[in-house]
Parts: sequence; structure tokens; C-alpha cells
Amino acid sequence: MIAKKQELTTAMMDSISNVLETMFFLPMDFISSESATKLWSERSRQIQTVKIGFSGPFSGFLALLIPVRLAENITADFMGLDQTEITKDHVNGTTKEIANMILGNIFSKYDDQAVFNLEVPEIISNANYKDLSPCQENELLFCVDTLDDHLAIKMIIDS
Amino acid sequence: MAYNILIVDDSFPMRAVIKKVIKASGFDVGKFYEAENGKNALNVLNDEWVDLIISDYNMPVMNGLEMLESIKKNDMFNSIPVVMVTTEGSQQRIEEFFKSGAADYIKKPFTPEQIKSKLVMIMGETENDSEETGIDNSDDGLDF
Repeated sequence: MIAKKQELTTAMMDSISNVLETMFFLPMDFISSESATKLWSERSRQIQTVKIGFSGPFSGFLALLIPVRLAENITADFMGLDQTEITKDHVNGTTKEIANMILGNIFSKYDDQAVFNLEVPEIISNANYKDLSPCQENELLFCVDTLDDHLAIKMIIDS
Repeated sequence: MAYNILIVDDSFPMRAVIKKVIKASGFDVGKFYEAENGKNALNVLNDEWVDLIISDYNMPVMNGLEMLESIKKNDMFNSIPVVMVTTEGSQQRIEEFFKSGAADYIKKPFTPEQIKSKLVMIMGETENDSEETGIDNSDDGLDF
């Protein structure tokens, strides 16, 4: 793996907490992947996945895995709308924005001299990311407790 | 003075939030226009009077930098200040924005205070001029 893992880990943790707390007003704590997997499987969550590819000094993609109900709550708060007013497009737009902001911030914290190109975020249906463990050598995974529920952010580095 | 602002972003929620943040900041706005990519933004400029553009960088069809370059090459529009909004903080990218003629940039995540202070600076108003318009929380539940 070309990326410096420790620096990338620190950048990811800083970025995730900065974006979720500053822009989405979400109190949060990092938790183990086992806790997130356990909760999601116990309650049979419907999970939405957003994927963004990137290229630069190293390339790969970032995936945001978020329970649909939590995504709806965040969207309503973010847009200042009632739950009944939000649409699927609003939710998709908001979750793409979360993933995009987190990824962009990761790279500016990791190395502000390097240029990474971010692809346009996409919603992945039927993605098989529900099993969050074990984490492979080329993966970084962070699970987050938001009080309401858990979400996960995974980066997979291809080269 | 009230300014017409064009917000360019492929994310509808993000356009809505930028609009709400500007309203909540008390900045004096005439009309808001919206476009979901650079190409649509150029179409809006052909049809409407716009005083200020706030644009995302990463968009499909035509990204923010390509749009900025087109605007600066066009004698009709090249005096309109363009503020880039981006998640990316690489020095090289920011230099590209300025070289292409951006008036400034705002990094996401942002606070309403950061937005207001940039807009006030760019449009040459004082904070007091802007505050005289009051804070508009009329139609949203924004908790900033």
C-alpha cells in the first residue's frame, strides 16, 4: 500500500468527526466494527451505500454505509425540513454530500500539496458491504455511533 | 443593496443549505438562481442578471473550474465574482481556482459566519451594512 496508513488513519478520523459534527450537527463516537455489524444484523437494517472513486498519488474508493432511517433523519435536519417533506432524491443528495465532504477533507488533511481527483458520488444498490470485518490490508474502516444508530466509512485502496 | 446570487451545485440539498445559510447570515439577497452544473449555470447567466456566483467544484457535465474558465473568457460575464465551494483543500487546486479568476473559495464543511464574511468581503460591504438587513429565518428550521 503506497499510502501512509497511520497518517491516513488520523486524517480519516479527523475528517469524519469534523464533517459530521460541523456540517451535519451529529454528535458521534468511533466504535468497533463488531458493534456496528452486530446492531445492523440484529435489527435487519436497510443500508444505503454511497461510493466515490478517487485517483492521485494512490487510487481507490470510499464507501459510506448508512442505515436508510438514519440517512432520512440527517437529511431532514440538514435541510431544515420535516420528515414528511423529504424525498428519496433529498436523501440520496445528502448522503452523497456527506461522502464527498469526508473524502475531500481526508485528502486535504493527509497531504495538502497532493492533488487527488474525486469522481462524482454514486449510490450503489445491492452492494455487499454489510460484513464490515475482517478488514483487509488495503482497507481502512471506521464505524461511528451517532446516538440514533451506527454508520460506517470504508476506504479501499487499489494501488 | 440586494444582490442576485447564482448557486451552482449538483446536490439539491447542498443548494438548499447554501441558500438557507446565506439567508440566515443576513446578507442582502435579491433573487436566488440555481443550476445543477456549470453548463446550466452558463444558460442562467444568458437569461438573468446575476451579481455573484457560488459554485461547487466537483459536478458532472461541466465542473466548477471549467465553468469558471468559460465565464472569465466571456466579456459579458467576466466581471461577476465567482466563489468556489469545495471539499478539496490541495494548494495546487486552490491556486488553479485563483489563476482561473475565482474571487475566493469556501471549504466545506463551512459555518454561516464563514460564508457571510466571504460574501461581505467580496461584495465590498461592511459587516454593519449587511446586518442592517436583519436575519432572515422566515421559512426554514435551520439551526445554525
